[in-house]
Amino acid sequence: MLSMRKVFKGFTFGLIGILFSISALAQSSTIKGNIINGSTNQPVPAVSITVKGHGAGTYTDDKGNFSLTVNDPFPLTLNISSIGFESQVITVKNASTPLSIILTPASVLGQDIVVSATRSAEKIMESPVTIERISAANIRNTSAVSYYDMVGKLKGVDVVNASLTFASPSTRGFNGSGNLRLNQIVDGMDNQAPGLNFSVGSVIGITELDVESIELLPGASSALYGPGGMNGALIITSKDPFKYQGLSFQVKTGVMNIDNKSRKTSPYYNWNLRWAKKIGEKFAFKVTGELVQAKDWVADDYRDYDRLGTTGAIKNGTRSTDPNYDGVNTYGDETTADIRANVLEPLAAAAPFYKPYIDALPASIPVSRTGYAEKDLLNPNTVNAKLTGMLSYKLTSRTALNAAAYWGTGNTVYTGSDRYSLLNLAIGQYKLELVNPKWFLRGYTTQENAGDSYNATVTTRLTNEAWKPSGGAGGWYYQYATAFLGAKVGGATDISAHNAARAVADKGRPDANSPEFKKLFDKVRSIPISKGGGLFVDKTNLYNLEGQYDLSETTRAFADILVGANWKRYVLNSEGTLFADSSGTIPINEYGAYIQATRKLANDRLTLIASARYDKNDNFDGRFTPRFSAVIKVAEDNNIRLSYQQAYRFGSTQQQWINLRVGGGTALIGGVKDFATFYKFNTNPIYGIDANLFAGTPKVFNLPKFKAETVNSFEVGYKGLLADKKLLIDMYGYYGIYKDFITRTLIAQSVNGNINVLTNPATVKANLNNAALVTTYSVPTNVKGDVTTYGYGISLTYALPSNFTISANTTSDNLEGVPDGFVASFNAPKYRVGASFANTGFGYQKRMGFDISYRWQDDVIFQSDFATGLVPAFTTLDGQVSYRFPAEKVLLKVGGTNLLNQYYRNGFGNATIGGLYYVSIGYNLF
Amino acid sequence: MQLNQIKKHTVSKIALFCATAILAVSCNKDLPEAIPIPFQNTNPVATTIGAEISSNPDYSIYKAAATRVGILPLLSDTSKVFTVFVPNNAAFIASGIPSEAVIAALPIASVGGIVQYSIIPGEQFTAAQIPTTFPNIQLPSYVTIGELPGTGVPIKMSIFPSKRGSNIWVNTMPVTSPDLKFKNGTIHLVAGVVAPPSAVLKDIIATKADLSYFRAAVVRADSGQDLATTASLNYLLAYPVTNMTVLTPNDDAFKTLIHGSIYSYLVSVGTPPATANDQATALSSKPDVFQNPALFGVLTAATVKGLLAYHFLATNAGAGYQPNIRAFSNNFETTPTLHTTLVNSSVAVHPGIMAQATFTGPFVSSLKFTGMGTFPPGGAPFSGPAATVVSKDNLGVNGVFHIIDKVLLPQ
Repeated sequence: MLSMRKVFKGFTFGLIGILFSISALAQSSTIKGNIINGSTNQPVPAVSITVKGHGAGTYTDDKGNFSLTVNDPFPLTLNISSIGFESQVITVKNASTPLSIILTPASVLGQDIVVSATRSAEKIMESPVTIERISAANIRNTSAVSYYDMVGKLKGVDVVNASLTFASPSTRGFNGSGNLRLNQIVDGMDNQAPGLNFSVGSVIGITELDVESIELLPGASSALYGPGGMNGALIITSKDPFKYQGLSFQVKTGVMNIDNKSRKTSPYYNWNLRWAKKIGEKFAFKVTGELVQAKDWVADDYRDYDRLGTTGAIKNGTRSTDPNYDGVNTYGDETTADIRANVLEPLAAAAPFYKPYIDALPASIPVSRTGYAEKDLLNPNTVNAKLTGMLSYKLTSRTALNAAAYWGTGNTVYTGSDRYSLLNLAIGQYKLELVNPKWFLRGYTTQENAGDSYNATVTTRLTNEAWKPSGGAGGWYYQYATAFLGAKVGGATDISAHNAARAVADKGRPDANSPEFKKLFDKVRSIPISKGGGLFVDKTNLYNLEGQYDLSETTRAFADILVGANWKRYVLNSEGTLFADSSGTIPINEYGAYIQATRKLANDRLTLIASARYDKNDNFDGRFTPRFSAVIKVAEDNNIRLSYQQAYRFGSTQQQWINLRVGGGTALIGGVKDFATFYKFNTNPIYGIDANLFAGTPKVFNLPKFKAETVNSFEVGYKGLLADKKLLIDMYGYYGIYKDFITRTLIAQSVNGNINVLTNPATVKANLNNAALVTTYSVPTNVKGDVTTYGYGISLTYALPSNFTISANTTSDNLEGVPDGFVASFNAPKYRVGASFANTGFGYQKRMGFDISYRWQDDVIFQSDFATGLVPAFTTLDGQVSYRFPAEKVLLKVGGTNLLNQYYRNGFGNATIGGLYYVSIGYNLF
Repeated sequence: MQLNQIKKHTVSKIALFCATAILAVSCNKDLPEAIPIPFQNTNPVATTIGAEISSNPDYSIYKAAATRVGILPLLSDTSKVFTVFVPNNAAFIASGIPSEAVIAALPIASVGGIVQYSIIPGEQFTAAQIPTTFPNIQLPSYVTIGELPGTGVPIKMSIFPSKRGSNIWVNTMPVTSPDLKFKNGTIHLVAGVVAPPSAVLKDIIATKADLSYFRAAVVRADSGQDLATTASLNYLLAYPVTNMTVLTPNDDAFKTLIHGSIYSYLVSVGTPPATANDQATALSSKPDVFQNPALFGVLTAATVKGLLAYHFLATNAGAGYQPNIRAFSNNFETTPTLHTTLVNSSVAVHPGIMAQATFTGPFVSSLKFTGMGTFPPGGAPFSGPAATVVSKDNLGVNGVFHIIDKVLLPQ
């Protein structure tokens, strides 16, 4: 177990000491009862029973029973409510007779309660900003294999799947593996891995049976959730152990990789367990676990990539037709050298009779080393184990002390600047919080350990070097080039000579599946990057302390006011393998505070909300970000929302401090000014890699101060229930203006301070790829001028008779104003369409359910540091049918995603995803 | 009841419609695969060089030669590319090989040499790619003569195409019909058979009776030098991978020069002219004059070396002046043109020698060289008498020499 910091220990003991001294007990009586579903006659768990005008309350257990101890005199009024049922108000005269309550299922649309939009509970219809919600009921009826994949079905969401268990959602653009502009908050904790920077939601986080709700706020959300939420926030909340009790489990077994050219058909296993129990009225706990095991999807794009630094494009070519072939998902072939400049010309100097012949060869003869396909390199076993636990103690009827741990480990594949095998990655989040309806105080830490994770590209290149070095007289390139010349003077055409030369230089090259190769590869991947291997050692940690207070009771006459503040401390620790921290850990402090005021006007027909937030980071100037929103109630359940929000994003920890040579040889560096000094940009100038450079007239690149980016986002939306409350319409349009948009740009620096290596248009490209002559850096920088995004979305959901619902949506996202030479990685298709047809209960005793969902997205130019290219348009069709055995509390489900098994990719260079078909049996799902 | 039925009917209709619609639009295109770069034949022509040689009756003698040495399949291989200088039957006849029968009777090594030396492997050099710059372009033929140490790369006998205006030669042989393009390369028809050299310059010079003074001069020039390095002219002439153009004055030329030198010397020390003439005649009558100790003061090793150096054409390709070009008679200019020599390695500003060729058709009818010294070095121009080439284009493995009738003087 990873150790917590002293500050947390102090915090913990202090709180416990204070809170245990609180005690007040009076005369009490206990109300007992049982609640059943009037439609199925089955008990309803997790029904909320609260005493009116009072905070006291309880929930039904998994048998529908409840027991509520009250100190108040009778008669009492109880509010009985549960999502999916019509609420009831009951007057109780005494506690002597157990209550028997029948709830009527409600099939009215738009009744969800959300909290994320304003950090306080409100009806989803009245949210001041666009919001989407997934409930536990939705999860029960989804065809998606994991709840996290359901996010991708929400309107306006794009998901990039780096592999089976590594999904990264985004809204309104800028999606990619580990996108940085969408905050993911899990039970109040930011779950971005502090060093690796990706959100770990699909790897580590809440287990499926423990999810109570997922709320998605597309669009800027920094004002409430802190810097980073430029494009939205995903807020996932787990089930309270007081409310959801009992033992639940689900066993899902499936089959995937059917008809996959890269892998044999393989099983998929997903086991879920949750156990929560209330002991007495004050204490409850839960433990949950989830284990996913499968053979991963394979990234198998073997097209030829014309690489230039961290950009590039697909070109025609295969290993046998392009000597400089660099397959998107083959690694090791990023190593390239010009055999003419490096071997043949020195040879011509020694053997001048060959000089004119060599001079007649192409001016540059770039040749890549022979690569290995990802399918043969990476461990195919994807494993994901999550374990969470929580202890909750009610200090008073309204205040609970929670201690929770979320721990996960696994093997998966992630696409960053290269493809990374995350092997035995372990991330733990540990939280201690005091929660009261009016306030909370929360401390948590994220402890990251990259385990045996390695960079597949770098590791394979180094494995090639370990087998046979590229350089030197006996080196691979020398052998290749001399064999090439030998074949040429034997009459061979260039390509025949290249293939003959490769056969010579590759003689004895170990097969990817040979023990010899595995031994070499395993050795290289276990050596840290900083010591010439492929292992990245990342033990970066995050510590966070935050609190919020609702001042509404005292300020109600004027407005409902909410205040909060947080402090974050990152401690970068990669031992020089990822960050520039070879000489010790690097701390980064960040703090912020926010305030929100809500006022209802004009007879509650107009709600005005103003929020503001201030944030400061060690490496960035402090910034104030406001949000103003208004909700106009046109009619009951028909609201127009207007908002202006500013969001602010500090560069990620990697954008601040990364120092990594990536597969193509480019140095990814951070934006803090120390790098410019370290790499002597002031004395050995850097040049932009642009048209000027390729024309032989490089221009010195002036690296400006790295700033945080801001977005000013305007949104107008409408949400309404029409046609006798059977048609739910939700639409929005947004316009965002990004300033100081953070992107990366490529610059070049002569290794020896000799500009001549960059002034000859004929050789400049070859020199850029020659690390001995030119260092190319990818530096984070701010785009001058405005980058704008705009888009819209509309969804229609219609409640048909007998519990059927049909819905359709379409969304569009657009980007403008990115100057040439900057990589925005917007990656959002211009259009998407989604549709679904579902029923949560029909047929005999409403025991059956089904869900069919369809999604299409347009093609998109997908940009990432790893590779850039066109992701073709694709559609997916998912579906499931389920049958419930109410008495046994068993739910059987048969379903599949990508039912037509049409392989697609949703990110360039990422895994190819096919159909996954499963059966699942669940017990006591609620 | 009825309403319910209608509703159910509507629902199932909608369900059916949805299912159909979704299936109809759910077809993804296959994911894009790597596209091979299509192999381009060297020229968009159906026939290979080998097929052309096999089928064109005008090439029957070349076909017989290529067949005899087993090289025809190679010339038909489309994974290869060649530039072939083919003598057609007329060219073979002009070269004294009038029939396929003669080919069959020749030693296989000679036939192999003729065929392999006509081929440049691995590249297509069309007329447009043959440079007009002095002297020519050195390219490998298909004749293997060794291996670059430690590389596995074969050393090929060089072949020297050149171009002036529309005239093209390979070595000294005019191309009669250039740029016949085939699937795997180009044929240039040549006026006659181009035979590969078989010996180094030193060995060929050794066979020339009227170069005995030149040989003796080489020995004198090399005295005091390390004979196992290219500092020694003797070593240089025998070094197989150099590429030289040597102007070799014949014996008469040396005799005239030595006679004059001794006579001038004797007269200057007070010897009566008639006596001086007799003594000079006697001393210069044999090549061992260079080894005569009495004359070491006049014919010093340095003097002789400097004199001979002036007869080795040299250019500076970046590592100082080196004997690194092979200039055939047809490579020289029709207007008098200066060419640098090994003298420039010690006197960089030396103007070199003046060359002028006269052509009859594509053939050289006359070639003259004139010493163009300055005296003192860098001073006033000093022009010796013009030397005429009496035997041009003596081809060795490592160069060519032209026998001239006067010794050229650098100063």
